Amino acid sequence: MFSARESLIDRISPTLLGEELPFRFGDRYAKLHSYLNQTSSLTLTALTTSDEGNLAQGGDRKLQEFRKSTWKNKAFGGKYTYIPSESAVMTELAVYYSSLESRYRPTPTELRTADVSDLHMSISFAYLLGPRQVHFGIFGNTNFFDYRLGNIGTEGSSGVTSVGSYIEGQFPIGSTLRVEPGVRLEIFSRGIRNTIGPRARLVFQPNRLGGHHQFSAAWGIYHQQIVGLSNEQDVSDVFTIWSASPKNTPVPTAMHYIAGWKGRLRPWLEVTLEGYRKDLSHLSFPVFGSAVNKVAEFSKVDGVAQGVDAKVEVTHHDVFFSLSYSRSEVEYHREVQNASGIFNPIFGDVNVLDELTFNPPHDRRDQLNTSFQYRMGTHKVAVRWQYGSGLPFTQVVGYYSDLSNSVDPKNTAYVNAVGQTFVARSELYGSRLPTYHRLDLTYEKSFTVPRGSLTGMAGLINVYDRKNIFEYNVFTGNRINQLPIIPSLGLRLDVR
Amino acid sequence: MNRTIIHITGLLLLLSFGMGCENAVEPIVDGGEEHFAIYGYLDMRSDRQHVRIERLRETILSEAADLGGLRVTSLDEQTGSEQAWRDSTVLLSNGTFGDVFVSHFTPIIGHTYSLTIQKEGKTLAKAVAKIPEPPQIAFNAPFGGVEDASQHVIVSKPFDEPLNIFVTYVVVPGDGSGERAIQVPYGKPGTKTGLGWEFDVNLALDKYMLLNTLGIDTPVFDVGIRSVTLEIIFLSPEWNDKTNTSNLVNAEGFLGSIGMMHQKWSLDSNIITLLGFTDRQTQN
Repeated sequence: MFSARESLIDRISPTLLGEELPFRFGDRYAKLHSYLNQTSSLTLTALTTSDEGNLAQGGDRKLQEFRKSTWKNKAFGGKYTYIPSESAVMTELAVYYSSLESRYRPTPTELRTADVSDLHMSISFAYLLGPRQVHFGIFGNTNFFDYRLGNIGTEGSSGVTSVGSYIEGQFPIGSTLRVEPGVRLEIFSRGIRNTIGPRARLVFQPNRLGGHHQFSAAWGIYHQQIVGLSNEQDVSDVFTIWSASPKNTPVPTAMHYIAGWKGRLRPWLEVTLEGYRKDLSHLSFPVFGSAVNKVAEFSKVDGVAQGVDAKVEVTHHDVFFSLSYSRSEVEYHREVQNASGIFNPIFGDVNVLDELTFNPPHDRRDQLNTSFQYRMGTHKVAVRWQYGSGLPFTQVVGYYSDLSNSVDPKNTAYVNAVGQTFVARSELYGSRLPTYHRLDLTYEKSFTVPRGSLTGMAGLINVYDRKNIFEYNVFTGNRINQLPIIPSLGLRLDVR
Repeated sequence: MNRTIIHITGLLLLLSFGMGCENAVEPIVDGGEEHFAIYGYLDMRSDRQHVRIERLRETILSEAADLGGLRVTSLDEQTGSEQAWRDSTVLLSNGTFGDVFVSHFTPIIGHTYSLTIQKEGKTLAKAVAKIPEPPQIAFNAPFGGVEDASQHVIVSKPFDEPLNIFVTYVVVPGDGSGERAIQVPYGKPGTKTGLGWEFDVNLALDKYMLLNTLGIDTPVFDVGIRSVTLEIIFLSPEWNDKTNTSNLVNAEGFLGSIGMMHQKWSLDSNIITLLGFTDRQTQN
């Protein structure tokens, strides 16, 4: 299977929409699945995506102010599966590589870069013993990170490797209960100790397996040594740095508690309800200094993420309707502590950080997604609406020239000195962005062609032209919005 | 079914249009333009004080905002005396311009000064700086011979450390040319101890500084010592951490102070004689 998509918006927008939209995006996807013989198969996949655009729009757009920013993803992988005919053991060997390159220009001369790559290998075995199953295996993971925050900003490279093994199973107890215990042992190259991640899930299906109702409860301990760093000076989340957490600190840990119910109340109606709580500890959170683009230090924070997810799905003949709603809250707490160096211990004066409770930049409280599709013969119409409440950001009090290095009791040179630009910030993530919402409409018409079908698509993106924020430029004060109302056209060829 | 479709589509559209139109981003705190950056210090060594003041900018690239209409004053909280500060535009080292506020007065040791930025009678920002209290100074008895005569001095706690120390000798030359004050710079001698700051006044070495200044090769007893004065320059605690803004309200930056203290002491008559001078100190 091969698929390629390419946007034309930058080429047609001036004539069709009367305004320039210098954005280009596209993806390529290829998948090869091959049965090598009766007992083994091979799957190869490749995916690349790219998004790029000149963000010098609106009031700050001049020909010479070119702010080309790009985000490029690559993912390649292969999986070999072997099921011997004489035993119920499935063996799987998998190798995956992925990378993300981000290039963001807040100004024509200022370039921020963040690269992350991931290489994952695993060998897993599955004993399929009827209703009982046992899965176990070993795995290894290596990540490389590289970032640079502008011409005078922080820069760094780091890597983290982890290796481990796991075992998990599924065991029915009677006809209505199933227990799924598991444990994962993992060693991190930057952590100060090895980790053990026990997990368990209990599934109760009162009307026999495959019944109309399923209740489940799960508990587990999870570890991850990668942190996403949002630049506190950015109003939106347009640029994220990925990095390893500081050396010789405990591995960030999350303890999950999940309980849920899934019921098919009518043959055409399925309802899902799930509540969760995640106790987070040893998280590394960046502490930005007053200098623009400087990640000064890391702090250790603990936190709680909790919420409820609800989903209703209606599938009736040619109609499909889905409505999902999530309510969540994430809160981090920082005790009084000495700041940590980003990659190495701090020498000299250590910055003492105050106690603080705050909502991190990904704390979206309400999220609602709904979609509706109606098929009438070879025609299909679809409506999709997304809503997300505003994300937290840190308001800026203002920018100023820092002269603290020039103020010297032995002279008055500071009177004529030019300082470095510093930022004065308000309460950490104390404000919220406007809500995000968007309505998309699509219409499809299929035609039968020799050896397959051809589908023509027409649609409207952002039907009511909601001005959802993409970027707020702190350098110039200009706001860049996401795509306005845009017609879309497409053709899809399915070959049999 | 068609009615259901119409209802659901209508519901989606209604939801989307009904979800509030509030879409403004307020990246800058309300009143941010009434926030200032203040850099400078009150200096007892001078009768002219300067402070750089900048109104905070809304974006990184925007120009420095106009400070017109602002009134900057300082209040001596002990005496109630208020000083006006005059805005003066200065050329910065990169060719742009900055604002320096200047006032003509000499701060008083131990006094607290409140620098306020006002507009139309309303205080927008404030910075407080205290000139440190005068330290207690103890002079031990002189010791040593003609080549190494010294006198140990202890500046008691809570005094931390000096910025500079000078010793000023008022001498009376024998040629009738009148009294002369000769200042000997000591830099930052001594060490921090459990008692405070301790150092030695090197009288033997100072003798040669005096003779050199007076153009005399060897001491002849017709040069008299009228007085000896120790001058200590010291910094306020704000200098220990220039990023600490706890003394600023609605402002970023740094406001510190520099104190200065003169302590005259009576030099032992025997040591004056040992060094080859005549003791002409007065008792007051």
